[in-house]
Amino acid sequence: MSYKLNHPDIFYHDIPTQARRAFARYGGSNISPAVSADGRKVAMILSKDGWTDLYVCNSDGTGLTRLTKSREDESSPCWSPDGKWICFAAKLKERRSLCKISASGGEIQRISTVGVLNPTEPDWSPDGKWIVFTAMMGSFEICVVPPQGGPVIELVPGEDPCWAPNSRTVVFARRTAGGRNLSLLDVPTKQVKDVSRVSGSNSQPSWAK
Amino acid sequence: MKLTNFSKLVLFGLIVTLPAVGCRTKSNYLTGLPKTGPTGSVVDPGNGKALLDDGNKVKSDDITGTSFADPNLRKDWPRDREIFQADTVHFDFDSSIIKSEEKPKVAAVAEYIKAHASDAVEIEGHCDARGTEEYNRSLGERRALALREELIRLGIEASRVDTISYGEDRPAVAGNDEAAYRKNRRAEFVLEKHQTLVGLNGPVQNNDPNK
Repeated sequence: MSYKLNHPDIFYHDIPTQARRAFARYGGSNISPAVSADGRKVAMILSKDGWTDLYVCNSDGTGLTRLTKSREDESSPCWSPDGKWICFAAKLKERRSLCKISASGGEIQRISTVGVLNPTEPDWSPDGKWIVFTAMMGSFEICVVPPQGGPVIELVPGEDPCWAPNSRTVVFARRTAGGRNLSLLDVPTKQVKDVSRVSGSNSQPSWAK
Repeated sequence: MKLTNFSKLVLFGLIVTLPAVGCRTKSNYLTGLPKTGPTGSVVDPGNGKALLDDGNKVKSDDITGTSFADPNLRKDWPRDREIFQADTVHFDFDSSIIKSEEKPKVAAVAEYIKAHASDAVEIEGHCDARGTEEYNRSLGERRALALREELIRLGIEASRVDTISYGEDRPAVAGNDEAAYRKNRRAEFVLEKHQTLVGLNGPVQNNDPNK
């Protein structure tokens, strides 16, 4: 996602060649792209039809399908490792919740997060066993919950969590006095190690899988 | 193995920051961006269930948004940020509901846009820093969209209202207290002046449906 063309648009950036192509440049916001594990589908949040809703399309931009319709917030989609489900943050019955929906459309199912409020920014572990997310409760807490929902394990303060391919380490952003810093979290032991800062404020990491 | 993963991560940190760096320094190793969007039409499967406040499923046509005009239509039009400065709308924490005391500002903008039939307006949505970056990008857009709906309700054509969300990227004032947050939870109106192109034979009116 970049404001390069003065607007929040989604681009494909080929790392070996540095080539970029515009992927979604609709009216309104084009934000929060998430590529499925097999690379064939992209989930994203668009407001082209008047509300911030969840859409999915093929990785070449064709076959755009709208999955939700709501005045409320849908944000931060991520994929189940088998590509069948998209997990996202939404507001259901006046409560912010994690939800999942079939990638081909269907009913929205709540993923209960017992013990915390305002879950957002989910990321599904590559082994399929956990969803890591940020709970917004005044401060931000990195938490995990099983994909079927249930009691939440609170880990450490932070935001923007993303799993490593080993489904054990999580990279996340930590707010410090000098801006945001990326850190690594070993989930079973809750040990945290800062990543050396590249430049300025670092956030919204995504691990190559 | 650990080192490998760590190197990967450092590399990825670089990649994450590249777009931002690219914007400011015009790095010459980035290829130009094509202007085309994706191809193919939108499929609405009709089974994506709408979410209402009570969480009940509703028929998909019970909730309608208002689609946008082509985003490239006005990209080169000059922007006037001053004219609606007094009409900046402020919001409650984590809310995109337009408060009643803010509505006269929207009405004033609507009056101006009605009286200047060839101009258009862009609504910028902004947030305080208390949500996550990604959440705030969406919240800022919902604030802008709520005002867009209000302008449409007041009789402005949907095709003349654009939105953009900056999330928490562009606070009005610095600071991490309620006084600063209150000023930063806002939406600003920017006038998009109908562009007059100057051709070889004098001014050329462009894109004006009334001419």
